[in-house]
Amino acid sequence: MADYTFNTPAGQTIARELLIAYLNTGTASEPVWSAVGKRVEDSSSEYDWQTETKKDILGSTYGTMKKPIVTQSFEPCELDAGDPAQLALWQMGIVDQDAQALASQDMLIVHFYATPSGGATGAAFAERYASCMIEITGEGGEGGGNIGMPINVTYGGERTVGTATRTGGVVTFTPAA
Amino acid sequence: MDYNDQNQQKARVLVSAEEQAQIVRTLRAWLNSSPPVQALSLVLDYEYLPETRGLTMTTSQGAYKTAQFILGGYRAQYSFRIVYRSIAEDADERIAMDEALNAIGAWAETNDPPDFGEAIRVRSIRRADTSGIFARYDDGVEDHQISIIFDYEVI
Repeated sequence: MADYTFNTPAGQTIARELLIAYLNTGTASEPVWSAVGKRVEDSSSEYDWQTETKKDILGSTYGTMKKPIVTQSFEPCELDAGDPAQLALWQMGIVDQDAQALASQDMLIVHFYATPSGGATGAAFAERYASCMIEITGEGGEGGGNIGMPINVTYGGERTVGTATRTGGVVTFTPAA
Repeated sequence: MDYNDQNQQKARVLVSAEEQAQIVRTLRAWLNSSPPVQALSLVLDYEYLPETRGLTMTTSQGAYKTAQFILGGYRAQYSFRIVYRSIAEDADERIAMDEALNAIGAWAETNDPPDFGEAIRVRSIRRADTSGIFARYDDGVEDHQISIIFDYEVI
């Protein structure tokens, strides 16, 4: 796997908006990557490494880990006609209640702050998860407010790493060779 | 600690000077077009009041971000006051001054907001209070004011 470097100035922290999750609102062969999390103020992916620790009879501690199960919540996700990811999820979850479709969504996480060492400028590290489970946990909100539709994502299926570029709002993913 | 307390403890991040200037200019022009302002036969100025009679808009707090979104956009707020200066000789005239300012506030709340261009999306324009006196001078001149909050998003 390629080595990556942070492409931001040394000594400076990295802005949150350089880490973006996208939902494929196109097709598998011709994906359209739509950003997830419009108007969301705080969202982090959680890595569950399924750790186990044990102490042997000599008193030494050992640990085991598995590849992580990565989950992420987005809340409140206020509905907006200009948000194609939300509209697609609303159709699947609220209109169709299509559990099978919701459990096999194609998603891409792009780390715009990380560039392959010696790689093309503008290409950022990206991970594509072919079969993510997206759970719509509710729809509603307080009176006088806006309709929210929070979601929980479990990134799953085949994981393909590569790079992504963003030109005029269009994101293109290229798998690593 | 509730959500608002947590927010108040964060340092305020101001929006750009250009953005604030655009907001002030657009709001001022919009308010000047309103029937309650025109009924006073005055032009809403900015940070300036003549000695005896006038109407001005004054910034309470520079526009600042109230929420930063993970995709890079933000929600922001600009608070301002409209101050009406006039000579009030009795209670009726004082009430009329408040009435005029409350009418401006109500108009701002209930009418279509101005167009700020593609980048700025209006969330709300609302009164933070009702009109009241805040200064009285020796020559009978009084200043009454109303506070208005403009909430918007840049996404």
